[in-house]
Amino acid sequence: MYIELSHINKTYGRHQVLKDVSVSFARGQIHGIIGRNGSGKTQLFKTICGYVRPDSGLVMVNGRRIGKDAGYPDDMGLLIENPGFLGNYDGLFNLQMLAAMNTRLKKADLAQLMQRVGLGDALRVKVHQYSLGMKQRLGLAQALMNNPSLLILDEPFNGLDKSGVADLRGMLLSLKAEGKTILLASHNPYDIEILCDTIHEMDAGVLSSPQPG
Amino acid sequence: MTAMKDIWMQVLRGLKSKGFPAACALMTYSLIFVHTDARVFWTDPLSYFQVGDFSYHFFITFLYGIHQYAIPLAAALPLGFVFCDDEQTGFSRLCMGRMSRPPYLLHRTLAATILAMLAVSLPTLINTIFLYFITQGSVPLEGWLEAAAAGTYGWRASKDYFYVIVLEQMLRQAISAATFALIAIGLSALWRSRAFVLIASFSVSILADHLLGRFLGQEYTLSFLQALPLSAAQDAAAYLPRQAVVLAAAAAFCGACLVWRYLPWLERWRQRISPGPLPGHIFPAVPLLIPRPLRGTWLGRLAVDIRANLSVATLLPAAVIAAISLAMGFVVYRPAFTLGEALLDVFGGAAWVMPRVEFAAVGRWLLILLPATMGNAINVQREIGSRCLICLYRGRGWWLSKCLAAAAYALISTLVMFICVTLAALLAGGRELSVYMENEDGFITASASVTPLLLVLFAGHLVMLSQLQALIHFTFKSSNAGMIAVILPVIVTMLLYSGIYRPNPNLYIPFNWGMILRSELFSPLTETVGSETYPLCALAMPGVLFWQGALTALLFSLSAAAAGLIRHAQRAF
Repeated sequence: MYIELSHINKTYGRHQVLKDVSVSFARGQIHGIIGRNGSGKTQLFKTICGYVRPDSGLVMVNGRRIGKDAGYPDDMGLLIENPGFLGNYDGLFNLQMLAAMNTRLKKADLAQLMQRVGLGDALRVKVHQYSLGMKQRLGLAQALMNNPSLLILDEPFNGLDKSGVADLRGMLLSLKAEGKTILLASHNPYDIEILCDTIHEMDAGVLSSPQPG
Repeated sequence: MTAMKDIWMQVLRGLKSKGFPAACALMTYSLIFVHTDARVFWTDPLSYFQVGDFSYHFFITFLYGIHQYAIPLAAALPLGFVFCDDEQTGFSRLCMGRMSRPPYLLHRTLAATILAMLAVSLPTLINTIFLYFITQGSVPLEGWLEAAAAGTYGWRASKDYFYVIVLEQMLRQAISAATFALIAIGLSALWRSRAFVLIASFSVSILADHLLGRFLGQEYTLSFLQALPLSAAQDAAAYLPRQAVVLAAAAAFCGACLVWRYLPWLERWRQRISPGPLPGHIFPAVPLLIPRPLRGTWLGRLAVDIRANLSVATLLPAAVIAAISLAMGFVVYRPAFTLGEALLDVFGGAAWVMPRVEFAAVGRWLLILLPATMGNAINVQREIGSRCLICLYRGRGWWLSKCLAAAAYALISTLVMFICVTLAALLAGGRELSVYMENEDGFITASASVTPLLLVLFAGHLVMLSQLQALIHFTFKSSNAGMIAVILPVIVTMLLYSGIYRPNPNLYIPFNWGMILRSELFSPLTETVGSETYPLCALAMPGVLFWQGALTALLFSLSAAAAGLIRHAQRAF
């Protein structure tokens, strides 16, 4: 298995957000997590990507224990909540800055990526002038930038218009065809059903057994 | 009725904000400030108030206080940020759908003005009542009432009519507060930044005082009008119309700012000329100049962090504040001066010859530290906030890179301020970088080495403070804590331990806060009285530079340790 979580518990104060979560995600598939707001989907993703340390339990990604062998999974792209872009710079420049941190991507590659997520006309527009959907697309672009083998996407359809949703669905399916592993959280069951190979339901910190998509 | 309800809700909003108690606290401090200079005030306050009657204590509170500096800030704090807050949170969009623009703007302006007057008047009233009761039966200090009666206060300066002076003084304070509230509101419509509103209100008050005093005379300055000295040339009532004119000017400024920001056709025009989100409005991007081999390495990440910190919104105030500080000094008004002397005037600190550092000197020194402190607070807050979601996992040493970027930002903002002061001094007629100073033989000679030393000492000081600020900000996850860690020790130690007549405590000021004027170059290290030798406030330059570097390294190491101990990724959400 590519990702394995065993007996994960996480509590904030008196509120237990993850309750004995044990789950495995196979490589090269799209895995969907569905659940109401506040059910613990985002906390689960943050635990997998190493942003939240569980009180107990084990997170293994690609054979490495997160929090021990590695701080964060290697080769990962991430879109969680509202990514903090620098509002007074344009979208392309924001991507350039992020790319310079851990890749050697050229400006042209990044422009192409922005084209791919539907921001071809907004390369030079400052991020504070972006709409919610445009910011979401830019968030996707930064997640895809390194061509990662693991993509963790929390509510990626938020703020997207009809064509944006359709484009993203197509993109996710093509990424799956390339062999990427995608974890996808949404509160919209339709998105999950048509895209995912396995579906888990999250409720009050408890993750259900997988259902086929 | 709806209008009154809306204004009342805005007043309540201000009363419930942290700004209102902060403004009251600031005003209270400014009112008791003058008393705190007397040691007996701390040891035996009752006996302190037994000398000097009510009129004496009332007069000195205003005549020697720090209202000039406190009122602009106290007026801005309760609701002066109203328009930038509404715009930033999107609350203005909710309001605009429910009422038209003129009442929206008018109600908030009125509420902010009322709150400013309240925030200034309430502590003044409490202080007055306190002084009245505590000075009952105290020994009068002869001469104060007589001087007031012979001067501006006339018939009011008697026991029977002193309440008129009290009421007039409160009116003056309230008008002054309203004036600065209107200026703050106008500024908040211009630029959506709380920091800008505070800094700009403070700067405008100092600049306006300076310009009015220079061009119209001392009796037209805001500080003069809000606290009349006993010997003013005219009757006290004659100055109220002047204050009303200043208030009207502030209202006009506020109105002009609101019109510029909110008048529909001007807004449409601004939108037309601004690069909107439409394709075709192309922005020329400043290139990210990172050599290709460095990309993807920690040096690349550091370069990105430094670049992310460099924004016009933080560097422009640095340039403006440096220019204002130069204008507040005295060097540029001399018939002949050098660029080095202008730089020394701004970045040299408080001169060692002052028996005690007055609040004006402390305020001016804080003003010059503020750009780097504010910039770093904004930058660190952004990096440990939502931006860390997309940056944390991209490489190791995330926090140390931010610390180095904060140090680099301190250096760059210092450079911006130096360049700005140099250019302004050049335009004002300054030439050559040397400083004229006394040599060992007592002759005045040009010294070329002082200016680079000044740059190194001040920059080193800001770098040291940037590391302290970053450490505290990160540890407590609070930008306020980071800023207080920088500002508070400077204020406290400068006020308490700066007198050359209190020799030993001067050693507790960390490297004299980077002030070259309080180093061995401008001050003797020791003073010999009879057979005893006392250390003075000056410190030896090599030692200062060494300890600055050592403390910076220590703070950086503590940051590294904190980054290892604190689970920031988890704490950030």
